[in-house]
Amino acid sequence: MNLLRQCRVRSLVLAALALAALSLAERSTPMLAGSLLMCAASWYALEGPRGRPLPKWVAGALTLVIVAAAVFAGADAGGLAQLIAITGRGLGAVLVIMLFSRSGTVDERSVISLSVGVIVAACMLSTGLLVGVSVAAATVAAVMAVTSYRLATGSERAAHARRMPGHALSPAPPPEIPARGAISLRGVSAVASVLVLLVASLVFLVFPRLWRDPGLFRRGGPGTAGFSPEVRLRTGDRISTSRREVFVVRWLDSAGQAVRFAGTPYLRGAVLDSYEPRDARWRAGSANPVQVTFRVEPGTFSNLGNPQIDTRIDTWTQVVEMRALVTDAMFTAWAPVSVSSNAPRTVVLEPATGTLRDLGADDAGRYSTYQVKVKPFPSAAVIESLSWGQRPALQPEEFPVQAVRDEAVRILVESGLAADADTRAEGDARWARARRIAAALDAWMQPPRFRYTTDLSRFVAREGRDPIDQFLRDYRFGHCELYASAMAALCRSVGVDARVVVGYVALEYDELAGVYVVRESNAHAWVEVLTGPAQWSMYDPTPAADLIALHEAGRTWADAFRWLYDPIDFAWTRSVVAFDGSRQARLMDATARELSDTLGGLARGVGDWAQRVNSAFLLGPSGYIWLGSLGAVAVLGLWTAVSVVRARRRERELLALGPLDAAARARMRRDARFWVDAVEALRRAGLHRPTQLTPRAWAAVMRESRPEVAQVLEQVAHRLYEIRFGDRRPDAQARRADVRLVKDLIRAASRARDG
Amino acid sequence: MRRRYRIGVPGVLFLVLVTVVGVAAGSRAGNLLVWVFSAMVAWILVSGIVSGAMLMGVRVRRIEPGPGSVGRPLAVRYAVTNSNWLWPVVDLRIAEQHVDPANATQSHAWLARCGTGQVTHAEGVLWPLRRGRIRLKASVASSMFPFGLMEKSVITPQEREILVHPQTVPLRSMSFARLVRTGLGQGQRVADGRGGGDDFRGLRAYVPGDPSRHVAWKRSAMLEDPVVIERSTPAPRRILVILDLTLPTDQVARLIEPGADAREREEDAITLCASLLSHAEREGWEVSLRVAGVPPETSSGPASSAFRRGGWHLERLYSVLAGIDLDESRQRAGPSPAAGSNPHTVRSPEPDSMRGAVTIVVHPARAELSVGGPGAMHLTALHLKEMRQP
Repeated sequence: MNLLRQCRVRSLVLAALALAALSLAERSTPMLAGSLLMCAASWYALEGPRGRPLPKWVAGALTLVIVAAAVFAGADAGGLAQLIAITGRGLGAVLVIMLFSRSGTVDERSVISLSVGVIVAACMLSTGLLVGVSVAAATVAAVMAVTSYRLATGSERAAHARRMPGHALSPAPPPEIPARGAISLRGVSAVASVLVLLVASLVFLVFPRLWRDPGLFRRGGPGTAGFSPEVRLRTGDRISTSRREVFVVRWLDSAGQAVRFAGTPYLRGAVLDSYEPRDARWRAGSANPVQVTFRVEPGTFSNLGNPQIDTRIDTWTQVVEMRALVTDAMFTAWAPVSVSSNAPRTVVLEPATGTLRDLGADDAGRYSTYQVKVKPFPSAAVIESLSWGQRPALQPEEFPVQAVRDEAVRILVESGLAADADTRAEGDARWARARRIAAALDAWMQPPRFRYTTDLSRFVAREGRDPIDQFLRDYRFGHCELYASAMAALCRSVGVDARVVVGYVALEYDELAGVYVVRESNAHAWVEVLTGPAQWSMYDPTPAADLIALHEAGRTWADAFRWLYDPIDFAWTRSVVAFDGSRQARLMDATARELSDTLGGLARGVGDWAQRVNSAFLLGPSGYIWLGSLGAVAVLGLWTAVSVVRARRRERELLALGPLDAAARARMRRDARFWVDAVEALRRAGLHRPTQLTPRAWAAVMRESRPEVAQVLEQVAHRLYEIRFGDRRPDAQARRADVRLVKDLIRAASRARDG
Repeated sequence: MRRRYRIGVPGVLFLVLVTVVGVAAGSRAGNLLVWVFSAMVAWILVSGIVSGAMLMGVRVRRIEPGPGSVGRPLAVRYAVTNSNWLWPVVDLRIAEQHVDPANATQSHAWLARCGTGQVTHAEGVLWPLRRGRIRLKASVASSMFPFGLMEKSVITPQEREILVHPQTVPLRSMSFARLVRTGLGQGQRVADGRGGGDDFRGLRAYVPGDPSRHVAWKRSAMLEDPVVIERSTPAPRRILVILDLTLPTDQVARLIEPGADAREREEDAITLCASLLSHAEREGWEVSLRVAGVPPETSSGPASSAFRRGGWHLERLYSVLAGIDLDESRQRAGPSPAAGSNPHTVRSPEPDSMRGAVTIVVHPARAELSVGGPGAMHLTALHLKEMRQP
């Protein structure tokens, strides 16, 4: 295989991996199959029996069309994530065209560059396991492709340089390539790949991770897996339909037996009670800053109540085993009363919302299992205990969008609750009104008036219109976040306190294992309405049938193999995706500790050894001085040995001792030593001996620039020739004369340098 | 030996890309992008480390090239020694430093691989563009392997001058034949020695063993003693090419048409001389060269004035032409010198040594009949166009 063909093969592999990574990031199986098929087809089109590249003008025209389409699509992009996806798809399409039209090494460079671009886009879109594997493989493939490209361009440039100037088409003699060159070069590429992987791993470990939240991009926090601790209504993201297992939940009754929960378990992750109309975002408000911290030890439950809540009756235990999600949110059903975990950790309870957060485990890894005791039907005393004295505000914030407020009043009238528009009710009447209004709104938002869909591509955001207003009055289709946001907004608009809750809904129960399997597509949002002084009631306006249909529609044959894939996926998420600043710090601490222990152990070992030697030879306290002196002598001896070896090598080189036997070498080292001294002296004087020149030729060259040095050097060279090649054996007097000659040479060199 | 690091345009672009990816990785909670950034940083580090280590034990020795000719490739070979015990040398480019582009194109030798402890030869091709001397100062061995981000170089000073012979162009055979036919004696001569040629040399007494077909029967009958005919040694025809550089360049400029380059015209004259010598030698003539007007120390010795055949002699004559420095002061043609005493100032060839030789005088501008003597053919540099093969 010649170099260009090898480069083509490797860049094709790189392109295929890049396109696969993008397809996996987009979670599009047709795209994956199509792109791999196109890669194979491009190889057949170029290297097949009638292979020829796509004409350049056709490739240029197609590229222009793709760029134009990407620009138009990008103009309507609903956010940065969508823009990145469009850019990635555009780069991928151009890459496919380039695969069909490549004809020389310049095109291979374009293929490699585009592949890198596609890989970057894929990395910005997803952090999934398969994407990661593709990117890691692409890293190695990129090293292989670039090294091949370097060799192919080197060969091509060498051939070009051998052509007659001005005759580009004249035949060029082929550059010389070793017969086994291609095979040996593969080893070089492999070594470079290993080095890149090693150095990249080191850089990956020490890269500063300063992020606290998802940052520039909404999706893509460490292992979000459909869950996000906020709701943004303007981004237009499609709700995840992935079947990836996020975690499994086991329900245990008070006797410790696995049971099925009565109804559908809603697992609360975060409570969002503040709406910002400017960017149409629900987030956790800062109105309830009180947080209670618990130290959780394995095997024991920490009671969350104040005072302590009795967990012996009407209490179920929820055991959560994480599979793919790494987050600080702890998912629990209402109402959590005590918590435990498989590792020592710190847990924070927000009494105002009843949510739990994990502040980190003491070991290097994130949690994989935790247990929460839950009272699904808490009494007022339990709620009072969990609130730690925190009470909701008597009057909720007015919803800040006037159009929604008007719509809320209209809906009440339409639902026959015109009398409840008056917000001045107090006491029980107030809570009864809240329940009536919540139930009416829940009913009003059901089909056929509203339609559930995860595809918001036709939900066009208008300037000056709030998405909730558009959902209620214009479109009336959307997903759970819009449903929950609309209901919470309507409630607040008519004086009923409500908040959005995000988490997961457990729809799939595995009878054999006795666990609920929570998948990424089960991420959900619903509403809690204040229906008592401290009582929040759950309402889910999203049509339950649609939720179940969505969940069932996603079933595939691949679900049968998830037991194999998901643990690896979770390990990937836990070890790589969720490798954040805290884990980095812990890893550094552990490494420093290990290093310190190792070095300390080494020092102690040396100390023990010295002590044993000291006591064995009965040296007394001064023995350590003797041992230290011996160590210094050993180091000095080693240094001397290295110096002697280097000097011997230098002598062998300068006196050309290679072909001589041992006796002749020894004699030459004694008799012709002056030549080595002369060369060294001239080197120190800044006159380096060109390796390609013989001693006499060196003197001849020097005659032009340093005639006085050259004059003496000629004599020294003459003496060298006499001894080395003329078999002349100098006596002691002659050797002294040679030494004097070298001294003359040094003086001449010094004069030349000073002058 | 000096070492040099240089970041090229691809390296700068890559650094910009790494910065952008780094910013994106730092602002986004996705470790996959951090991995891409880490891999890119690793590329930069490995590129510097690998190629730096690769060139640590590299020594480049230029194998001294012979003389070149204008318009013909001159192979410049290098012996690359890799004394590194760990890294092979890969994708090594070797070029010459500070080669005047007016004199020659750059020579690019390329080596795919040189294993550890091996000596490998690489060959570059240098295309001389002008007659004269090309000064090679140092060889630069560089590599951008493995990723092309950073170029590392090892500069080995190796001074050497290469003599570039003038260009020889193929001449029309008919033009050359017409030229030598019109010359006095047409270059033919009779050699003194006995041999197997066609020319009659004399008669001698028959010696037993002489072939009977050599017996001159009529003469033997007259002398009543057998005699045989002796033939002379076959003698190649001789041609003497005289390059007339007696006029300084500025005077040549006054003689040629306006707008023409006098120095180019002189170079054309030299090219015509070289071409005539080459063509004549190829056709079996003994050739000789004289250069009129240039001091003898600027070119090689009087050996060039001898009539000889063969590539070695031709090389000597080319070297004379290559060594002409047109910037040196010129000598006007003086009185006729003795044969062979000075091949550079010629008024007329010596009759003994030049007996029977065709003399062609090449002038840069106008024919100066005083150079070359009677019977010499006079050409100007403009004849080069007429005589060269299309």
